Amino acid sequence: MIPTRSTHVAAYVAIMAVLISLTSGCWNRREIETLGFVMAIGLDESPSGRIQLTVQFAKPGALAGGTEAAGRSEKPFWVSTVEGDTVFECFRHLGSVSTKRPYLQHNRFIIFGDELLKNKGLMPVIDFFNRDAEARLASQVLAVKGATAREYLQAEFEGASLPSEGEQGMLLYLETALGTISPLTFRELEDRMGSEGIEPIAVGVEVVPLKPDTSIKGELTREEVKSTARLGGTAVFKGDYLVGWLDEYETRGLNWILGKVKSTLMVFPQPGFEDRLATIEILRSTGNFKVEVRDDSIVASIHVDTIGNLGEVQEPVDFVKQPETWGQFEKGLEAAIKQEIMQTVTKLQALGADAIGFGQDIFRRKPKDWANIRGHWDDLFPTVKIHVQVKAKLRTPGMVLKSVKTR
Amino acid sequence: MLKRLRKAIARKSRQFARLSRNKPFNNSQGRHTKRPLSEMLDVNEKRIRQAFGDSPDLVLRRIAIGKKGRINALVVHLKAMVDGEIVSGAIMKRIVDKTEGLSQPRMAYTNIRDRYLELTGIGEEHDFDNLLGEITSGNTCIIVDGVPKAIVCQVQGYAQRNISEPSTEATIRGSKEGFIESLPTNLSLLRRRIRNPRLRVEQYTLGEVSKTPVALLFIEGIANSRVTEEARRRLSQIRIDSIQESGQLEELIEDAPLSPFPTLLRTERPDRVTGNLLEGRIAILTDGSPFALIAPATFTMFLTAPEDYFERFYAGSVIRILRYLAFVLSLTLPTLYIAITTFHQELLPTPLILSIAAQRDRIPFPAVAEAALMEIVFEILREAGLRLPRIVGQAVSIIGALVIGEAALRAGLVSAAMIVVVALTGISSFATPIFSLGISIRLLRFPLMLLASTLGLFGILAGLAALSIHLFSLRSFGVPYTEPLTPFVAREQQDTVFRAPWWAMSKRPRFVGGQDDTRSAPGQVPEPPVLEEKEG
Repeated sequence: MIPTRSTHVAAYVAIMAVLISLTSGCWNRREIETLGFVMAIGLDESPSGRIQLTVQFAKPGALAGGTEAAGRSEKPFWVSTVEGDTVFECFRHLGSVSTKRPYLQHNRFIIFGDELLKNKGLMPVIDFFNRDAEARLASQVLAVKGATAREYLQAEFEGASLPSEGEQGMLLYLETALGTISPLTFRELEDRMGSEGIEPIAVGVEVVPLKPDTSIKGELTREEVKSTARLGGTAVFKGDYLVGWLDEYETRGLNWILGKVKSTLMVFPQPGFEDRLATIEILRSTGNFKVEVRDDSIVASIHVDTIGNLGEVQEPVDFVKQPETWGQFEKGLEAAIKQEIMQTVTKLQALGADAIGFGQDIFRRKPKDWANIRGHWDDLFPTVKIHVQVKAKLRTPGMVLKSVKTR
Repeated sequence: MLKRLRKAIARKSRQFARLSRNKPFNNSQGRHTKRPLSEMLDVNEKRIRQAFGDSPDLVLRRIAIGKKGRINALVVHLKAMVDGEIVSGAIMKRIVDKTEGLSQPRMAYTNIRDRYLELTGIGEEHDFDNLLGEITSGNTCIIVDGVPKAIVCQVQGYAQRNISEPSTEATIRGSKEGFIESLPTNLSLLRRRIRNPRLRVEQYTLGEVSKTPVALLFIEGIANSRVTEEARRRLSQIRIDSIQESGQLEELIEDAPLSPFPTLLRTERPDRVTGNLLEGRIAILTDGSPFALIAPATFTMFLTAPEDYFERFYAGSVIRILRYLAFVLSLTLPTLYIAITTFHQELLPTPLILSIAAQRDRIPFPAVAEAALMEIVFEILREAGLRLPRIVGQAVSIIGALVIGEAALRAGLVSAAMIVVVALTGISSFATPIFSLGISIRLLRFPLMLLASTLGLFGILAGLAALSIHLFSLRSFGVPYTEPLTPFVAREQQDTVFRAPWWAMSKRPRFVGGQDDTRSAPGQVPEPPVLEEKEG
C-alpha cells in the first residue's frame, strides 16, 4: 500500500480514536459487584423531626445463584437507615453506613411512613425522585399504616427470598384477583397530586409483628423473622397530606367506580336464606361515572356493569326447578356492589378527600362550571349526591346445575 | 515519533514500487525469448538433461524406430507424473511396432502423431521452453531425430485424493461431493453439473516458478461481461513466484485487501459453485487447492448454506434467520455482557442482574478482563483442537470444557454467566457456514469488547456503525457488498434473509448478472389438477 494523504488521515483518526477511548477513563463505569441494588426505599420522619431514609439492599451473594460458599442461612437483604435534612443528603449519607454504592435503577417500591405523611406531607420528599437520573418513576408507592417505613422494610415474606419480590407478587394477585388494592406508580401518584379535582392515594400496608416463638420461615438456620406485612386498603391524601384510610372493601368500592376491578369475589346473603351466604366470582366489570352540576346540587351517577359465575352457596339451590332464583342472585349481587360503592363514597365524603376524581370529571367536561366550583370544592364534595346503577349478570352456576343436598 | 514512522512507511513503499516496476519478476528462464527445438536429437536431449539438472525422476528413453530401427527417437517424461501403463502400452509399444516400414524421420513423425498413438490428448510443440513446461506438467513428449518438433501426449497420471465429502461445508441434504486438489477433476465435477457449451473455462498459468494452472469459469450469456473482463485483468496482472492455494490468489485479486471481511467467497462445494455460476457469477479454480473462489461475493452469500435451497422453503428460511441471529450473537454477545454489567445494569430484569451480581461478587477482574480472558482461552482451545490429531483432540476438549471451564468457575476466576456467554458466542460463531467470515467476526469481537468496556452500549453502537459504514462501502468486482440489503432491491429479497420457493424466484440477481436475468418461467406454482365437471 502506497501511503497517500488519505491513509495518513485514516491512521491519525484511528490512533486518536483509540487514545480517546482509552483516556476517557471509563466514564460512568461501575462494575456490577460494586453496586448495592436498592430494592425498596423507605421515607420516615425521624424522632428529631428530620427526614429518615431507610434503604433495603439486595444481598446477591445470599440469593440462589450465588457462589456456594455463601450459605443459605444468610438473610438475602440488608437494611440501612440514615437521617438527614433532605432526601438527597440522606442518600449521600448512606455511603457512610453501606459498603456498596446505592444503585436505584432496580428499585421497585417507594414506601412512606405514617408519621411522615401526616406531619410533613409528600412535598418535601418527592422532588429528588424526579430530578435524579437513576431513580425510576415506575416504582410502586406504598403507605405504611400505623408504623414507620423502616419497620415495614424489616418485614419478610414466606416463599420469597427478597421482600420486594414477595410484595410484587402480592400486589399483582390482589390487583387482578381481589381488587382490594388500587396500585399506582410514583408517576401516577404525582399525576393525581398535580391534577385538578382529584386527590392522591397509595396502597396501604401494615406491619404484622410475629410472636417471638413463631417463625414463618421453615429453615431453622435462618435468622428469626420478627415481622411480616400484609397488603390491602388505601391511604387517602388531601393535598399531599395523609387524611385517612380505606379498608379493603372500601378500596374495592373505589375500584368498582374506576372500573378497575378485574376479578374478585362478592359475598352476600343468599337469596331466600338470610343467614346463609352466596359467593359470586366476578369475571369482568366496567365502571364509570358522570358528574352533573345542577342549580341546587351536584349529582354523580355511577354505572357498573359486571358479569360473574356462581362460586359457592351455603344452602342448596336448584335452578331447574326454581329458575327465578337466577334473577334473585343477580339482584343480590347488584345490591351488594351498590352497598360497597356507597360505603366508599360516604367514607371519602366524610374524609373530605375526592380520591375518585369527581372534580376532575367536571373540570374535563365542564371547565366553565369548574372555574366557579373549584374554590369551594372542598365544601361541595361532601354534598355530592350519588346515584348508583349496577347491572350484574350471572353467567354460569359453576360446574353443577343442582347442589348436592342431604336427604 | 509519528513522523519517523511515516518516513519509514514511505521508504518501504518506494522500495516496493521500484520492485514492482522491474517486471517480469523472477524471469530467469527468459520466458518471452523463443528457443526453437533443434533438429538434432542429441542436442535436444542434452538441453533437456541440462534444464532438469540430471534429475533422477526425469526419464529420457531413447528408442530406435523405423525400418530396421534406423530412426532415433526420444521419449521424455517425469517418472511419477505420468501413467506408466499408458506410456508403455499406448506409446512405446505402438510406435516401435507400427513404424517398421518407415524410413523417413518426418514421415515417421507425422504418422506417429496422426495415426499410431491411441490417445485423445495429443499436441505438438516447437518451442523448447514450452516443451519443458509440458514435461513438468506431467505430459510425455516424443522427439524424433531430424524433426525440430515434439509430440506431446497427455498421459498425466499422478496420485490424487479421491472425491470425498467436503469437510468444511458438510450438508445433510444435497450433494456430498467436494472439490479435490486436482483442477481437471474439479472441472469435471462442474461440467457434469452444467452440461452446456456456454460454460466457459479460461486457463491461466500463474506463478513464475510453480506454473500453477488456474481456471476462470463463467457461463457465457449469463455472466456480466464487465465482471469477467475485470477477472481476466486481475488474474493477468499477477506476478508472483508461486500460487499454492486459492487463499493466496484471493489476497492478490480481492477488492478490499485491508478489510476484515472477505470479498471473495471460498467454497469446497461444486453445487455451490454451480449455483453461483448460474446466478451470473464467476468462479476461479486453482490446481492444488480444493477451494474455489467465487466473485462477485455479497455479504448475504456468506450466511447461506446449500441446504437452504434444497430443504423446503419454510425450513430453509427459518434456518437462515437462525443463522443471521447466530451471526449477530457471535459478534455482540460478549460485548453486550461487558456493556450491561459495567454501564447499563438497569437493562436486565432484577432477578437476572442480582444473579449476575452474585456471581461476580468474588471475581477479581473487571468484566472486560474476565471476558477477554475467557474469549482468548476459547480461541486457544479451538485452535489447539483444530491442529491436533483427532484422538488427542478429544483430550483437549475434555481439558478445555471440564478442567478450564469448571475449575476456573470454582476457583472464582470467572463467573458462570461469563462461561455461558463465551460458550454461546463460540457455538454461534460455528453457525456461520463460510469459515472465512467466521474468522473475521472472531477478530472484530475484540475491538468491540474494548469499545464496550470504555463507552458501554454507546461504544458498541459506534463500533457497529463504523463497521456498517465500512461494509456498505465495500465492493466485490463492482457489486456493492451488502446488495441487495443496501442498496435495497425489493425483487431480490426473495433470497436474502428469507428464501422464497423456487417457483417464485424467477429472476437472477440484477446487480450481479449480465444480459439474461430470467431464471425460470413465471407462474409455475404447483396445484392439484382441475376436476372436470360431471355432466348430468
